[in-house]
Amino acid sequence: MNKFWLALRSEFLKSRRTLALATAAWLPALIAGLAFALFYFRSEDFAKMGADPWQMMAANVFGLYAVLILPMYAMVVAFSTNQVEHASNAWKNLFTLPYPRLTIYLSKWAFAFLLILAFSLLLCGWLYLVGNVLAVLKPEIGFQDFNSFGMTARFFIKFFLAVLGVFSIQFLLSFYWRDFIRPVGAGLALTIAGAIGAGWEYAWLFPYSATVRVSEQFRKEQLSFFPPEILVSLLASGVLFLVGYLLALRRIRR
Amino acid sequence: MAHNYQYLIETEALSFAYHPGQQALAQVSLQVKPGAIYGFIGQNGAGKTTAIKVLLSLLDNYEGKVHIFGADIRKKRKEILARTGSLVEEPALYHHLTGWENMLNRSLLLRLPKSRAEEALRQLGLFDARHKKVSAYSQGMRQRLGIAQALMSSPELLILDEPTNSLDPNGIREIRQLLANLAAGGVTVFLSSHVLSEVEKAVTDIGIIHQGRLLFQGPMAGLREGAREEAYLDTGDNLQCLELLRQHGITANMAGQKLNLGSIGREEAARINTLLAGQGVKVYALEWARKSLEQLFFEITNTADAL
Repeated sequence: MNKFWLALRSEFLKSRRTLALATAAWLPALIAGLAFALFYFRSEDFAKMGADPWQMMAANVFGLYAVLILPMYAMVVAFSTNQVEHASNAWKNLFTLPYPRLTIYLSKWAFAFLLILAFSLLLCGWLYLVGNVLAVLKPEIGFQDFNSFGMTARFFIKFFLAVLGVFSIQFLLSFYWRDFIRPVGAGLALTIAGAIGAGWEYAWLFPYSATVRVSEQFRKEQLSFFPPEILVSLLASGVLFLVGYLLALRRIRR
Repeated sequence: MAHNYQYLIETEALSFAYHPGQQALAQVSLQVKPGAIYGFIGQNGAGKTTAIKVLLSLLDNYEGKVHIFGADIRKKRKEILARTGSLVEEPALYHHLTGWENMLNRSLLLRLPKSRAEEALRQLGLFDARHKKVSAYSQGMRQRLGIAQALMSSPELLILDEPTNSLDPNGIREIRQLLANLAAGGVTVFLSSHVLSEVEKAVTDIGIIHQGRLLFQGPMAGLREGAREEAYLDTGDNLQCLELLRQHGITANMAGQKLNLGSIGREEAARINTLLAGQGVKVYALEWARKSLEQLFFEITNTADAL
């Protein structure tokens, strides 16, 4: 376990100055800033609606977040964490460390996983802050009158679980293909397909539709943490982790 | 792990194939003594890197036995790697990080104090450039940083794949000196190279691998002594001289800018000299020399090819 933490700390060190880490830090703040601007400058419109502003804010953010931002971020993280090793053929070097091979692969996967979790939690936290600031600056919107942020937070967790399938597929593609175009291009095409086909009766089986389907559940206030699409996403994630590990072992043998 | 072993690295009938029927290593039995600087030489594709990958447990579906520090690499992988520093193919460095950050990362993984990173950087002459990003390093600097990483854990065994790649003559000399110092301190060095002139100067022992087969193994001094001295002739017109010698039934061959007369004695040399002088050939030099490692290497590998 100690070695796992060391390997994980090493991943954090290696992520300095990478796109994945920078994006995890500034993108949630940027999204929250846009949400703040929207509510601040159109406070009268939102006040007139009289609806729960926490839910309105979440609905505004989740639209793009589910379709594009979160799957794209998962792709960037998967690409960036693999690219760090591809860039100088460092996988071999990692496997000559006196570490169990599984620990090395797991730490890299776990780091990417934590980065997506951090991204989700940071955005969630920023939105909470935005709501509270607006409660003071624009009390007419009514953030102070509602206490429903728990549901928004719950859906951030659901989105996170839903995107793990996409992340795992992208992690595998980024491990297999060393360039940017192929894994991210394929990911983007699948994401668009997932968004378009999210309403199809078997779309719950397609991990790239999962986040869009969860955003639909937000609209319908379906709170369950484990609807079929999330279970599929988790299952895909587990299976692809093992496939990726076996592939990693095979690749270093070349 | 065992403490009594005659050879620090010992392989027995080591064979490996990337694909069925394509043997990368065939019955290789390496024997590397503790404290040796073992030069593992061969042409590109001879099997050097494959053998190194096996020694570092990057390839484990091989046939035969591999013992390092007296222990089976399959059974004691982590323990062996903990005592080994290595550089396989090109240095695996993170180009977006500085030299110092690369060293810190390594020291973190190996649970070493930062002072070891500092020491290794000084040893390889990179301390002043430590805060530069590796992307701004020259190829030679990257190579030295890779070696610094391999040295950081003060390993008992150092496995280096083509360590002088991309180094300038000065850098090559420094690495040669460094390896000699390490060996004097008890470190065993196993290095592969195809730059034979460099290996010749640096190593105590040598292994010659060709098409996956180990053709020679032993002390460098023994290889040199085994090679007989041969006479070399330099004249005003070596080609004309070669023709003349052959007309008189004397065996000779072109060897670079000189004529190789083979292992002849002083009397025979004097007779040839008199003959040439009588024919009006200007003889500038007639000297004896042992074959270089390069010559021996080609002799050994060509003989194997002919069989």
